[in-house]
Amino acid sequence: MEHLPPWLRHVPLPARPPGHGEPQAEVEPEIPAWLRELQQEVAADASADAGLPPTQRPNLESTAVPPAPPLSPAAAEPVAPPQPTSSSEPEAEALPDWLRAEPTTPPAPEAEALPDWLRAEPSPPPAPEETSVVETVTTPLAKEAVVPDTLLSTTQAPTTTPKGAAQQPTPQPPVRAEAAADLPPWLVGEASGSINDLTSGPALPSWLQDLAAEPLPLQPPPPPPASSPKAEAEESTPFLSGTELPSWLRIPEPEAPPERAEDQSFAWLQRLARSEQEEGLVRKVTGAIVPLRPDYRLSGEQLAAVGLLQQIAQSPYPLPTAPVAAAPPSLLQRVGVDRLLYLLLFLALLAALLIPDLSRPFQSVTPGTPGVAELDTLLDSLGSESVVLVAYEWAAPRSSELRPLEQATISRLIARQAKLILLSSDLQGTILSFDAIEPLRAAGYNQEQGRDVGGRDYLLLGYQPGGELALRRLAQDLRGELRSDFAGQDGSQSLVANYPDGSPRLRTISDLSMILVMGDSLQDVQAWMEQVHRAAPKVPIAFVLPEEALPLARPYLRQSGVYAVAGQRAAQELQSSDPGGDQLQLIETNGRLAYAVAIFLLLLLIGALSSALAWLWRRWEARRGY
Amino acid sequence: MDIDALTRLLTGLVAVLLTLLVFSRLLGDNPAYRIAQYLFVGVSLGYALVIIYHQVVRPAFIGMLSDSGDPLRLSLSLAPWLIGLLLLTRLGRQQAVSWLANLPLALLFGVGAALTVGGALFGTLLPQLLDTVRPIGSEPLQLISTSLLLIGVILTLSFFYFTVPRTGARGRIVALGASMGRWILMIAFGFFFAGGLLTYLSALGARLEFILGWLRAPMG
Repeated sequence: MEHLPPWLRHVPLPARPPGHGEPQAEVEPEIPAWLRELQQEVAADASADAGLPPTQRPNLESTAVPPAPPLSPAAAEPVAPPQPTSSSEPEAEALPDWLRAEPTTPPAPEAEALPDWLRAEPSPPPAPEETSVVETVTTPLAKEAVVPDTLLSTTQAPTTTPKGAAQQPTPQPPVRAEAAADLPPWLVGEASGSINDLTSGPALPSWLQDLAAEPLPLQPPPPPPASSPKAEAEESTPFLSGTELPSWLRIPEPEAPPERAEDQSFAWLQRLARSEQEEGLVRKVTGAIVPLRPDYRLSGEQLAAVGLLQQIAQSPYPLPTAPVAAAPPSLLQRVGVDRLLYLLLFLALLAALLIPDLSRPFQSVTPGTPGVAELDTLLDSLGSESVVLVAYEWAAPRSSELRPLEQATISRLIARQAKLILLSSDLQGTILSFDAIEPLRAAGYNQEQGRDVGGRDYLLLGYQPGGELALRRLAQDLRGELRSDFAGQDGSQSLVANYPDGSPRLRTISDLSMILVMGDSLQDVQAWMEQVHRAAPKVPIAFVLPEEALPLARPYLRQSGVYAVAGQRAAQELQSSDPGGDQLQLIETNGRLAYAVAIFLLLLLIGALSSALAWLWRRWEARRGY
Repeated sequence: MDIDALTRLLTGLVAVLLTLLVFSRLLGDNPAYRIAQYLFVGVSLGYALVIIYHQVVRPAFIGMLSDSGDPLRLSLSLAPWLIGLLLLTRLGRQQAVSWLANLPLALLFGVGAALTVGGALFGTLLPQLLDTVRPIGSEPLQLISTSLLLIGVILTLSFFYFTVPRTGARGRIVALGASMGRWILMIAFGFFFAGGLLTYLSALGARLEFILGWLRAPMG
């Protein structure tokens, strides 16, 4: 058996018929030295290729697919055997007799039907080499279990046959004709020969003749396998990229079940191990060994956690307990201290209204309020030829403070017979400005013997839409804004805007004698200061504000020509010089306001003390452990 | 009782009821308070609509009709209407042409921003900055007032100066100024609260006085 290549040694040979001696002694000396070297090279190449991953040995994968490993050396290197034998004539003498007898040449294949890798093959190969190929091909045929079905037709139709064997016609089964249809044209004729004809020739060695003497069961050739995508991908490897294999040479790989990613990473190793087992070759793995997973030991904390989990799992759920019913809140807690204090303030103010004597100690003549004296002086400087622009920018919720201030200032202006231009850029201020019509008419404004004379003493422009834009437009073109009053009449031709001789009294906003703004917020002050007072800085501007907005407007009041009064006290002081004003009522109102402030401070102090006592009580209870 | 007195009594009754509904807020949020709140908002909007119609839309429409004989004036009168109608393109569900509303909005925002920035710069910031460093007069009281104003402004601004670490000598000075500026702010807020307290107590007293006056009116 040593004359066989390693991949042939494991193939069990059929039992020899009786009478035949052991061919070992006869064949051994027939193997030449070059064939032994070739066998060693083939074995070395096979062992080297087996160590490569599948991706790095495409020629082996595409041609020698398991379960036909014995065919791999011949199929992978079909051109290797002819090289050492086709050139040297002296080596021909070392050939055995059965190889020397008929040095036939194979029929020349048609160049168009051959793939590229076959065209490069030297031709014509010598006869002994052809028989060696027959050896490698026909020997596995003796065992059908070793040969895959897809290659059965190939092995049953060898590529070369001795001439003598080919000249013996044998009846062809129909299945052979079907198999011949897949063969190239130069093999069609050869496919009609039987395997018995091949192996029964006299050129075969004795051990092969015995082997071929056994009948080979005929099998119908399987249908050509459909090439799977994986096989196509393997066919597209660089080694076979330029070749077009016939269908009978395409060996599909059996479809493997889907593997996991980690299994796929070791797929080439598993295939390698499987092929080695099938070849029966025992090789020592000298590569890297995957270390085994060490014994996993739980740490102390993990053991404790596991024990706790087991304890929790074994312990039953606690029975649901009803929440402790909270004690019903007391009446004081339900009402709240703040609401109670508000209620006390409400009752105190109501009592002051019902009993005027309660607020009498707080009634006094108001001392000099900041800004009132300057505004009083300014109002006194006005005359009948003065034109005052009055802006109603306040809303009804501030009427408790601004209504007295409005009445005080308007009455002063009426007393000075000043001409007025009333307007508003606020929606609520517009309707409040209409309230001024009645007192003005009562004072004789725009009235001539009971007849309305529009535009003689005042102009009511009404609502000016646009906010700051309206103010800017007013500052840039005051006369243009007078062209339409609230009724749509042209006020620019009135006596307010012109002198009796027709000359304009008002050309720009700087011709005004005073600007009076009744606002309720800082935004009103800011808008008028930024858009109007900036355009006419020499025109005095006075703001009538609630107490809430006065501190916010303080920074503007430091500029020259800017006046401001706020609150009921300022109204009282302004009306003090007006003989028609109800100063007594205003004194009572201010007295009630002072009384309310005193009550508020008292209640605030009571609330602070009660909160402090409650906090101390809770802290004392916490210390005692309740 | 004549008709005028009866009318005043009834209108006063509505006002008193509405006042009491607003006062019910002391008991917490309740439907009575919400009725008064919604009524106030609705009446305010209705009143605003009436004002805008009579003061803005109607005069402008009459003016446009009067300019119908002059094509140039008519086109100028139509321009605000067309720009205003572009805002209505956002009313429908199909927002295909809603971008047209961006034109008047851009005009409004652009003009408003220009007015605000210019007015704030020249009407507020610059005058107040100059007023902070006004020249010191010969009067001792004015000298103290001006110095306190300048120091108070610096200390208040130092409270909002967060970019200096409080570690070094400079940082400790800024931290000291910031703490003093914080107290100045607290005092200023106290003044603001006092002004607000006077305003709301005045309003409360006025409402209570109105209620008592309405109750006393039938009794003469």
